Amino acid sequence: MQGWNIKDVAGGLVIGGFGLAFLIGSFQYEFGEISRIGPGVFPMLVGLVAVVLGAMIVKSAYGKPERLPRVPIRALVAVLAAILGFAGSIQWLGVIPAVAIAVPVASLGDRTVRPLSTIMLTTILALGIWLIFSVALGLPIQAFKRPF
Amino acid sequence: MEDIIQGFTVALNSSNLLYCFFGVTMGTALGMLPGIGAMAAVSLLMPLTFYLPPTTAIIMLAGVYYGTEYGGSTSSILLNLPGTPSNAITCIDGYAMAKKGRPGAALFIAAVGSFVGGTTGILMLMLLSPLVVAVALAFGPAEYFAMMLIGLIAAGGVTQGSPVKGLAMVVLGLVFGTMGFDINSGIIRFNLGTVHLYDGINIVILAMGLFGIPEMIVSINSPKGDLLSKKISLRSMLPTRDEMKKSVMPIFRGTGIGSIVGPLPGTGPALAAFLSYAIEKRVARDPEAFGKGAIQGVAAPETANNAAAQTAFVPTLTMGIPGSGTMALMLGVLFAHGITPGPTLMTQHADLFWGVVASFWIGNVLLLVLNIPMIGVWVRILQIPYKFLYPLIICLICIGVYSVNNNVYDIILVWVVGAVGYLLRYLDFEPAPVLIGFVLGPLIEENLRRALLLSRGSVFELFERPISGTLLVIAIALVLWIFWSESRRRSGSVQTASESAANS
Repeated sequence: MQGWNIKDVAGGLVIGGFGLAFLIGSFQYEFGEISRIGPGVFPMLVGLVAVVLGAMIVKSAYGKPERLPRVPIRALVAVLAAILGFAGSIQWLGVIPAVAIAVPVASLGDRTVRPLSTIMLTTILALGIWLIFSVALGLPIQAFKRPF
Repeated sequence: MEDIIQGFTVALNSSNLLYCFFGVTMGTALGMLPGIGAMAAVSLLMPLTFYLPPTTAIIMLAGVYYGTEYGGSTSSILLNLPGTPSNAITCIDGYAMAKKGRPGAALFIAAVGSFVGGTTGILMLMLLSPLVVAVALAFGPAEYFAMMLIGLIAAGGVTQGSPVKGLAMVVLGLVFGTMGFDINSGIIRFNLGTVHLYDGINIVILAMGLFGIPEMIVSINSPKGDLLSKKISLRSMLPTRDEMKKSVMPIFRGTGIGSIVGPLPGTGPALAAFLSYAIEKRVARDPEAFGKGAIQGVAAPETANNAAAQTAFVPTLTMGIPGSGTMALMLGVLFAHGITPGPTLMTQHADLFWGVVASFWIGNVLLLVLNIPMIGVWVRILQIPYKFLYPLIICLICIGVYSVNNNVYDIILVWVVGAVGYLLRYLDFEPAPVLIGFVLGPLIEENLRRALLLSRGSVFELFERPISGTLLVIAIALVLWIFWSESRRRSGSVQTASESAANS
């Protein structure tokens, strides 16, 4: 069987890429000598190992063609957007608005979701989280912040 | 002997008992919340102890500490969110068991294993303190380096897929671990130009991003997204006899590993858990079952991490050497009460020492009593349709991460790590070894540096020392064995085998 397993090729490239980045980056730090190794030695060694492993993975991808699996776009976007929404809101608006934004956005990731249940869920979670983290645990998180 | 009895008298006094109960309950609850581990839990509750008598203070905080190990296993099994880094390994088979409809069994075995590990660790503490201390003292940086190297290599074999991919994940963790402040040289590495990465990536952020976020993306909309839509009977929540039988030896082995690793300063429950999982997988008759819900994969690490957590008190109380940051906090509490731990603690403050030790017993019993009935509650929680559960998890992750530094940047960071984590998962890489590499990376670098410093640059001397030499040989043998069995697995042809042998 000819052909490459694209997934493993990509995987090997990702690993090798990270390794190469750290390997090259390690040169900006000192290496010292063998009896007093400097900060650059370890990242260089580890980066090198990563590059080697990445190459091994790519090499092993030959001869086993496989199709790329489906990406769950809707869920992916919903989750990532929800987190960003939370991050943006908590800074300026406080935790309750943050939850109120994150929960509906996240819920959109599920195809079977309905507006009423989302509203209920948002309310319960916003209050619950505020009660547990801010009131009960006393963490310094504000419920509402005035953005001005 | 009478010290021990006196210890129980102290521990069973109603106020100590109450605070012990409070400590283990809070510990379990906090350990379950992703993002709050042992250290955060202890620091959160420490101020409460300043006005308590010292024995009571330690009893309560110790309860919080090992309580978090119990609680952490709950969220690992039910949600694939490691409550503490040492529970990351429990996520693998524990969550798989939950998806197969056996979360109750996993929780039960985790609780029982934790109990056995904790109580045996206490026995070690009581009977073998001097011996354990002697062994700990024989471990120099070279030995730590070698032992951690073995741990790292073994961690590569912990995943279901190819060990090469597992090793790649370990190395990725090592590489991420170099980011931030380097304790050996005092400079800051790889902080990508931003002050927020001066301390590198926070482990909570890494764990949430690698485990929690990809898991959710994958599980939403999946046909099995509603776990356990069937009715749960009491019997199905408990392990079957076969499962219980299979757990006995892993618990036994896990206790041993945890008790050995725990007292060594600089190692902790996480390493114990990973090592015992790796060993279980090697000695099991059905290693392919690991990763798909093998009960041994839950029993062994949960036992080991509790044993390690308990025995971590040995160097702290007997030598005044904290094995980890959390232990340092405990030391701080003792100092705040005017008590100096060390060899004299056992004699000068016998009631404190033995009272604390006795309270460990009681605390573990309390935890068992607390956790087993709760299994029914947790399983019910799992029956909530996933579409309601995962927005909650997202909020928990965001809050958990935000609460570390009250810094929005951390949430952005977890977003980035989550995206990378999903990419890795999509490409069939498993996240658990990354955490091991991340935790051990700075430690192994430090020990290597110290070892080379002490041997004045001679790498050969690392092999000459008996303990480290043996461990290093084992490490090299492990690497070769991994590559050899990998090439055999790939294809039976002689050509491929000799090709791979030439490469390694």
